[in-house]
Amino acid sequence: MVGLFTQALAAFQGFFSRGFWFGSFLPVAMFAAVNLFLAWLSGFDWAAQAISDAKTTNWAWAVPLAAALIVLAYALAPLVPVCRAILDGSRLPTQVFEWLRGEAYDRRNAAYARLMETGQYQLRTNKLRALIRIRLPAARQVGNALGVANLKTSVWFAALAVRFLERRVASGNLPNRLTLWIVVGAAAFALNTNAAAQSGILGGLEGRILDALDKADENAGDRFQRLLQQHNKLPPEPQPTRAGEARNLSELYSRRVYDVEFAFIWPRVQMVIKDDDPSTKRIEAARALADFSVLSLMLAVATLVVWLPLLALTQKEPWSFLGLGIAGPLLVRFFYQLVVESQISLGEAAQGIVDRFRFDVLKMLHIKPPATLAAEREIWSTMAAVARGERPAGDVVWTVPPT
Amino acid sequence: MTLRGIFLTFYCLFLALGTWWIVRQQKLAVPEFVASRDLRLDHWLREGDVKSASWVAEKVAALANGPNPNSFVGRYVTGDVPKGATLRLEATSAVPLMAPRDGHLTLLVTLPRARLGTLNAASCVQLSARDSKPFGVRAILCPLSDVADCSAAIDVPLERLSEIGKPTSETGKPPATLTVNAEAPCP
Repeated sequence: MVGLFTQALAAFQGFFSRGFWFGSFLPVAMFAAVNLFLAWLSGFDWAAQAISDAKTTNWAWAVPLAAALIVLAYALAPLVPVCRAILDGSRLPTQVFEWLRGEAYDRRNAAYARLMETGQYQLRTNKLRALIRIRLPAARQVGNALGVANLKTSVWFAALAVRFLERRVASGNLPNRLTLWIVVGAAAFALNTNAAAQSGILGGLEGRILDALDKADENAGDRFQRLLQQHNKLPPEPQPTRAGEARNLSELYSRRVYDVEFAFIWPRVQMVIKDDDPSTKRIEAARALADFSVLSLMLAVATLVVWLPLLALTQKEPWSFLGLGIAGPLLVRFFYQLVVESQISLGEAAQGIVDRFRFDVLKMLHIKPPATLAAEREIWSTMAAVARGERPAGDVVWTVPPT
Repeated sequence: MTLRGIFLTFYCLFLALGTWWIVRQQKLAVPEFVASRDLRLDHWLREGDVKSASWVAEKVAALANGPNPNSFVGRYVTGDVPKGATLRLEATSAVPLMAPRDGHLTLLVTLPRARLGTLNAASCVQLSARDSKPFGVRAILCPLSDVADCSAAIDVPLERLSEIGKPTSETGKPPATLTVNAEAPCP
């Protein structure tokens, strides 16, 4: 009987692209099943009946169901670009856009501040080194002049503090300023109040602290490199959302390299790619994944918005409400991550395709191919300016003068 | 505070509010109980026969000092109740109904506590080893005391009445008291 459903799908298969089936139909079918399950959980009789029919052999509804899902997927497909625009921030209200972008700037500034702080760690330990070299030998002389171990507790405390410092740096950590001052202070106090000769544990204390500081400096160097790499990965122009940053990164490429807006060149590049070219499949696959993730995210949010209040009103126990309330955001987060990753993947594919087919676009437009990158940048910027309705600074040369 | 933090705070508040609403609705509702197995007419209810309809309802009933599943123990079902069906305390009876049946007599026989087992309405018992067929039980009546014996109301078709008073093989006399010998599978 599953065959009926498959037959119904097969009948429609020829009408739609593979991108439609993966990018639009699959999320709709997936969330139809999720909604059926939630309806069953809420005690709707029709849902229980549908599940019982599916368990038995009564699949008479398979054909209308397949048709309904296809129509729904077809109707929702135009909303995907709108939803993507909301996710990348371009359709957000100005205040929300600026608020979110401000947070992105804060994150970037915080990362930079952390990077700088780590970079200056060595300066901090250098000051401390100088202090240790002056203060501790002086304290040792005072203690030795006493000739006895006056305050054994301070000796043990100093030994423990130095041990703690050694362990912290050995495990790759950077001891903070307070820890360092406590350790040096404890060592100075112990040496000042006890004769080092009578307290063997105090021997070589300065050397151990200085060794620990050297190791801490090494750790700071490692952390600095790691933070620098992370910082370099941050977008130069923060966007309100991570999806926006992914999109901006992929679109920046054509602007930086060829001085042309991505929105200008991308539709024209797609026109010159032949149907049987492998690039067509790459674009279709990347776009289908991007559509799939955006539509899935949209449906996951809609499911939460509809079902959470409904479960609160219909359920006798809070478990299904809480279960959906906790699992739902995790699912939304998963699909959002998928949106970001698929956007990056689509952007990477688009960059390669622009590189490869941009001369074909020039050929299609009957523009003489440029000899240098600078000449090419001029052509593209002239074309984009004309498209924007501006007066271009330069001109383009046709290969075949228009009649 | 970030926008994400504000959103998360409101979402958590919404979840807390929804949970509170569900529990509150349960508090306001009449406590519901359901049969945890199929119960036949005049079933003498014991612990485990009835449970709360929901976990929240059970906790709420415990807090509100209202009826709980144990309030049903010792009462009788006034009709056939399938497993999972809602059961109200008012719809149970303190005594079995045992409506008369044409061509049948109902006899009260002694049921020693030790033989009580899972016996209940619609079970079958043997009164002596010589019974041709087991007799159907219409109801079980037990005093509150845990040591006193119970009684079983058994259904005797008129044509089998003669089997009841038959002299025993040991004494040659009819038995002084009728006692349930053992539970038997119903034909």
